Amino acid sequence: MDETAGGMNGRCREFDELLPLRVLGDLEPAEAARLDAHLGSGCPRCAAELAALQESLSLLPLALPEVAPSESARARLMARVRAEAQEGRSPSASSMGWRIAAAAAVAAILGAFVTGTIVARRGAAVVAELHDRLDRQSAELADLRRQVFQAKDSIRMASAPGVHVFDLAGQKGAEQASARVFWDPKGATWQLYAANLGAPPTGKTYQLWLITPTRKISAGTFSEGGTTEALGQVRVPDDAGTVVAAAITDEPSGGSPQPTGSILLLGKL
Amino acid sequence: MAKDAETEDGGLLTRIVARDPEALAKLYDRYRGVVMAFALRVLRDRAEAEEAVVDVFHQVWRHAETFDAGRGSVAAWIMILCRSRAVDRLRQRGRRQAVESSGDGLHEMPSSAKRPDEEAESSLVKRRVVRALAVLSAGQREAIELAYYEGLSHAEIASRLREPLGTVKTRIRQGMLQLRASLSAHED
Repeated sequence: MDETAGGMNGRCREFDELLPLRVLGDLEPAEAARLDAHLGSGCPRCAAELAALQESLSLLPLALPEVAPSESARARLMARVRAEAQEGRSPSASSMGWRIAAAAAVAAILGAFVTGTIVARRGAAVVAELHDRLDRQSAELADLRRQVFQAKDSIRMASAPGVHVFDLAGQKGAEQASARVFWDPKGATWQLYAANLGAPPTGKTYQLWLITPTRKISAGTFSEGGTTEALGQVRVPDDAGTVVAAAITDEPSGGSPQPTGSILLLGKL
Repeated sequence: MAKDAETEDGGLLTRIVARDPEALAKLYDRYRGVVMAFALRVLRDRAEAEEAVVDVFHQVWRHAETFDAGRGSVAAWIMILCRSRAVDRLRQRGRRQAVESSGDGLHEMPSSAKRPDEEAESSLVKRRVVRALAVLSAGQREAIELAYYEGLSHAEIASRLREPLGTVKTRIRQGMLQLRASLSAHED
C-alpha cells in the first residue's frame, strides 16, 4: 500500500503537525510536497481537517470591530455590476454571440459537474483571478502612463525659459482660494493648479483671462472646484500689448467673450 | 457559521450566479463592515481599503459560480478573497514600515453600519470568533495575526518578535488547532 495514502493509519498523524502551518504561511518545500502528495492521494480525514482549519482562519476578521466603507464605494461597485448585468442581457448581441454564449454556459455547467474536483475548481479560480489581475494592471499602467505624461508636461512648463508664472490670490467671494498659472507664450499653452476653489454654481463655469493694459483675452474655461488642475491653449495677439495679470471669473456655462462675472482670483505678473 | 445566515448567503449567491445585482447589493450590505475592517487592518489606508472592498465584491459578482459550499461557508470564501486582494496590495506596496508602526487608532473608527436585526444575526458568529480568540495565549494570537493580516512568513514573524523560528511555528500550530477546536465545538 502507498505509504502516503490511507486515512486512519499512524502515518496520517504526522500531517496533523503540518496542516495548521499549511493554512497559515509556509512549509519547507519538502514538507509541502509530502503533504500535497498525501492530500492528492485523497485522504478524506486530512482534507476535512484542512477545510476546517481554513474555515476557522477565514472567520477571524469577524472579530474585528466593523468599519463602514463610504457610500461612494457602494455606488462604484453597483455601477460596475449593473453595467455588467446589462451587458450580459444585451439584446444587441448577435444571435451567433448568443449561441456561443449558450454553448459556453452549457459547457461550463457540464464542466462543473464532470470535473467537479477541487483541483479543477481551483484552476478555474486561479485563471479568473489572473485575468482579473491583468485587467487591473493594464488599467493601472494606462493611468500611470497618463500621469507620467502630465508630470513631464508640468515639469516642462515649470522649468522652460520664457514661461510666465502667475500666483493668483482669492478675491471677494473666494477668499480661501488660491491658484498658480503657468503660461507659455511661445507654445500658446497654459496650466493651472487651484486649491480651495468651490465648485462653480449650476449653470456656471470658471474662465481664465490674460489681461493686458487694453484687453482681456479669454484663455479658456474649467469647471472643477476643490483642488484641481486644468490646462488649455491661448494665443495673445501681437497688438494686444504686454500681459500684466491673470484672473479667473465665473461665467455662464460655455464661457463669455468678455468677462461678465465677478473676479474670484487675481494675480499680477 | 450560524445555519440561517449561511442558508441566506447561499440563496444570495445563487441569485448572483443568475446575474441579479440586487442580491449582490444585499450580500454587500451584510458583509461590507467586516470586509472593510479586514482590508483596513491589512492595508491601514482608508482609500486603499475601500478599493479593495469594491474589488472583493466585484470578484464575488464575477466568480460566484466558483464558490464550493463543500469547502466552507460563504463568509469564509469572501474573507479568503479579501485576504488575497488585500495582502496582494500590501506586498505590491511593500510598505512594511507602516505595518510595524501599527497604530491602534484604527480600532476607534466608527463601527457597524448595520440595521439592528442584521447586527443580531451576525453577532452570533462574531461572538463565537471573539471567544475563540480569547482562549488563545497572547503569543499564539500575535503570531497568527501577523501571519494572517500582514502576510508575514514564519521566518519574518520570528525576526519581528525576536523569537526562535521553532517557537513561532509551535505557537501558530497550537493556536490554529485551538481555534479550530473552539469554533467547531460551538457549531450549532
